[in-house]
Amino acid sequence: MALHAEQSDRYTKFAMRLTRARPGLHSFITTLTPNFTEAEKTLRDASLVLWEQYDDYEPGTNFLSWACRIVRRQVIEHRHAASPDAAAAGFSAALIERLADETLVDAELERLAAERRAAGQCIAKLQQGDRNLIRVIYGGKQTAQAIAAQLNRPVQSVHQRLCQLRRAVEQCAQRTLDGEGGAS
Amino acid sequence: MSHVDHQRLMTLIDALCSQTLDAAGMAELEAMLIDDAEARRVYRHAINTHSTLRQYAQATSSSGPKMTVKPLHVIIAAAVIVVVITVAAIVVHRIFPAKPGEGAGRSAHTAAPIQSDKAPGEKAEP
Repeated sequence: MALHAEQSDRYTKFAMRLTRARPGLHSFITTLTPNFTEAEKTLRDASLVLWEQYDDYEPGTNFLSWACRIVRRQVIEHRHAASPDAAAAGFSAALIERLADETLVDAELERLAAERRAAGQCIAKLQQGDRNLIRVIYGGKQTAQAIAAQLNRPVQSVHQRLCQLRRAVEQCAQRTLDGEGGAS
Repeated sequence: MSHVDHQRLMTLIDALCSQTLDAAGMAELEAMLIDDAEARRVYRHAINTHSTLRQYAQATSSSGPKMTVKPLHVIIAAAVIVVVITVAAIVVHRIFPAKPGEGAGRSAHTAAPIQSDKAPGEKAEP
């Protein structure tokens, strides 16, 4: 009974840590895996892989950093196991290693996490129509083609608007952080 | 940035985020990133924002109502129909005003369900 409670407590802590780390893991995997469908699959698989290796995690250390190091191996293994066509659709192993090395520096992990938090505030400042566009397309409710057809406009204009919004949110987040740094 | 064309890099990242980057574009992006640390920094931060937008959309699109973007002529047509119906209702009401008894009876019937937030047994306003 005590063993069961201990295991349950252990799993609860793991789930909480994984939930907190999820945005960072999503960003890390997407950086290494430019095929976004494949990235989502890797993220789903990562939960099980991380749980299987949870004994190796030292409480009190950076869970996201630990998780990213494991997922990095997973991405590289998938890269080696992929068919030539699938491998050609992604980055080379050398580039994946460089991107991972540079991301897994504590200062960079912290900066990216701060940018994600600031980006959340910046998204909230967007106009309702722009937030709707992000929700329907990135949320998978409708394709850019479907939205373009509704608007009777070329699909490229929908893609361009999304890119403008992404750039605007990124610049807003960076300005926010630079402002905080300047104020401190 | 050392030797990479920043504008071209952003165009390739835009295409990647739109999932419209073809194999040749992917190879070009790889070539830009592999030997340029500044290009990789730009790429990492752009994808970080892209990832944040995707997670925002996934978190909010399941909880909220389905959003659709309607073309302007549909919105205008809908507005015209609403205005026509409203004007027609006002005109009909002025030409054929409701009898006092009918109006009071109808409002009493329709008001009852609206007061459903009252606790059971609670007396209605006199």
